Amino acid sequence: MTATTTVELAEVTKSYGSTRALDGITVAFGRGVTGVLGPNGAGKTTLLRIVATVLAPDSGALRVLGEDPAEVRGRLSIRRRLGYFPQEPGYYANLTTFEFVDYIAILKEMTVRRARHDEVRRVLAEVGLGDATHKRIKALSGGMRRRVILAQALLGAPELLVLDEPAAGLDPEQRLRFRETVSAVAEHHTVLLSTHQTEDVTALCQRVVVIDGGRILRDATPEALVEAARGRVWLADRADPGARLSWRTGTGQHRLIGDPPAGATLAEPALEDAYLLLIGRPVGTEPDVAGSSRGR
Amino acid sequence: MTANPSWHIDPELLAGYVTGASGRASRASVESHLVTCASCRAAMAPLIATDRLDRNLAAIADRVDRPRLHLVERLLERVGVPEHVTRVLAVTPTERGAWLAGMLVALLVAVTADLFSASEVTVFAFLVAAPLLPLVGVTAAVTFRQDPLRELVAAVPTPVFKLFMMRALVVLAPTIAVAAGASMLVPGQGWEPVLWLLPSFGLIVATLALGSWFPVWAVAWTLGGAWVLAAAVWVRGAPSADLVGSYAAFRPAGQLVLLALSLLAGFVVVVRRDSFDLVDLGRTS
Repeated sequence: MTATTTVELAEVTKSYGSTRALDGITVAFGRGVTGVLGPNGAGKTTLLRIVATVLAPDSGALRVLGEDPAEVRGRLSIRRRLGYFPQEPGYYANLTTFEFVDYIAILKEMTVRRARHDEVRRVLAEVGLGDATHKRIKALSGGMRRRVILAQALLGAPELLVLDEPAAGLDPEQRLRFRETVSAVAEHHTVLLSTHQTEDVTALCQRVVVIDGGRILRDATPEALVEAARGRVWLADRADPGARLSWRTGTGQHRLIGDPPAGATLAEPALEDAYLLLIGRPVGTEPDVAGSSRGR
Repeated sequence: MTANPSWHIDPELLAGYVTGASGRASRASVESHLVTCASCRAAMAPLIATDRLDRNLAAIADRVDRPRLHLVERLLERVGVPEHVTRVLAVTPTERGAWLAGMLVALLVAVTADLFSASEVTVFAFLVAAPLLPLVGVTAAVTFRQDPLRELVAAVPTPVFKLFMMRALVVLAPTIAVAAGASMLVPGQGWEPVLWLLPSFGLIVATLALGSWFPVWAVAWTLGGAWVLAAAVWVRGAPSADLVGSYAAFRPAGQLVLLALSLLAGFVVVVRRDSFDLVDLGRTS
């Protein structure tokens, strides 16, 4: 582990019954935002759960913030410096936003009431809920609820922020605010961001790790990933059945990915194009190969 | 307090607040807005000593945001339980539901025992059924599958086992108190009505011990079912005159064995308490 590495996995595996969710993952993460991209069932959530210490790997070595999560003391030390946004966060819907975040703050060992309440107010203001402290969670929109979960993840300015699809359901303004918050944290700390939103990866991440079938397909900067797609993205007036992927855009032209069809012109690639080339199917879709796993 | 609300205080209203000319409702509105609006606080800065304003606003914010205390919390704080502990106990829906369920069932048992206490069979049935009440309450309190926050809670530094124990105690205390009170309503049986306490303790601790390997709810169902089944099988061939006195679990030797087993199970729970720490969701869900 180098001085800047905060999370390190070596040959980590995890299976659910006969389904292998992680198949010998070796990767290290450091300061800044690293995006974890992949289709549903790729193993992203399993990876993030293992890093967040809520799930133990079957085999392999793991160091998080310099500690071994397999040891009780190491796990405790990590959890004291961790902020976690699970993929499917639950709520106590009858609590107000303040009560909810206050509850998590207590579980994060903030036991002095006045200081804890100040911290709760700070994180709620940070996610734009400073005016909604007394609203019950059941009365909030889906986007606001996700901001409550983000607020609890920010408690205590954690050194490691693990975010599993935090931006799902946020409107454009909320998404910009989310990017602002996460990028501020990432200036000094490590953020792992699993998402289906390639725009968020482009806007936020210094690095992107593409996972599929429990393996890392690519680990690069977003720019390098986009460069790899240069010369493989085309615009044409009609669909080409020979293209790997194609769709009709809002301008009426067809965007084609793969080998050049007749009469097509080269287009500037985006991160999503590069991702599609790598995965062979659109972001967030299930693999259509036999033996694929679901619901991790 | 860095929020940027979509509206700001009218300068005239702000000036009225500073000079004390505004009414009570306006003052309250201004103060609640100032708590969250940095730009309005900045607008007020030239009009008032800011350090004093900040102190006042912090005090107001604390008073405004402080969660409303439930009756449970007030009672617990009254007997010296720390504020952060009472908060955890008061806001967990799983614990509250389990507690209420336990109380209701215990009350039903109390009424039943009171109405039919003259029968030996009823007393025996009461002694067999009573240990199940705390078991149900504790199982509901410590079973993560009902807790929507299970994954979040698993990633915080407070050990899950500690949280389980806090919840379990809150469920157990009133349930046992009510059930013990109910057993006192059984007249003319001497010390017999409290014979269920050790089986109850044993079932709970054994459930937690085995729950460190298997799903807690499955263990509770198995052990609770086995306890009832054993009593039902035995009672078919038992002498009807002294059901309670002749059942092994309620005889002194049986009680000693139960105590020994409970202590052993308690030891296992302490040794394996860290196994509750990981939401290896297969076990806890």
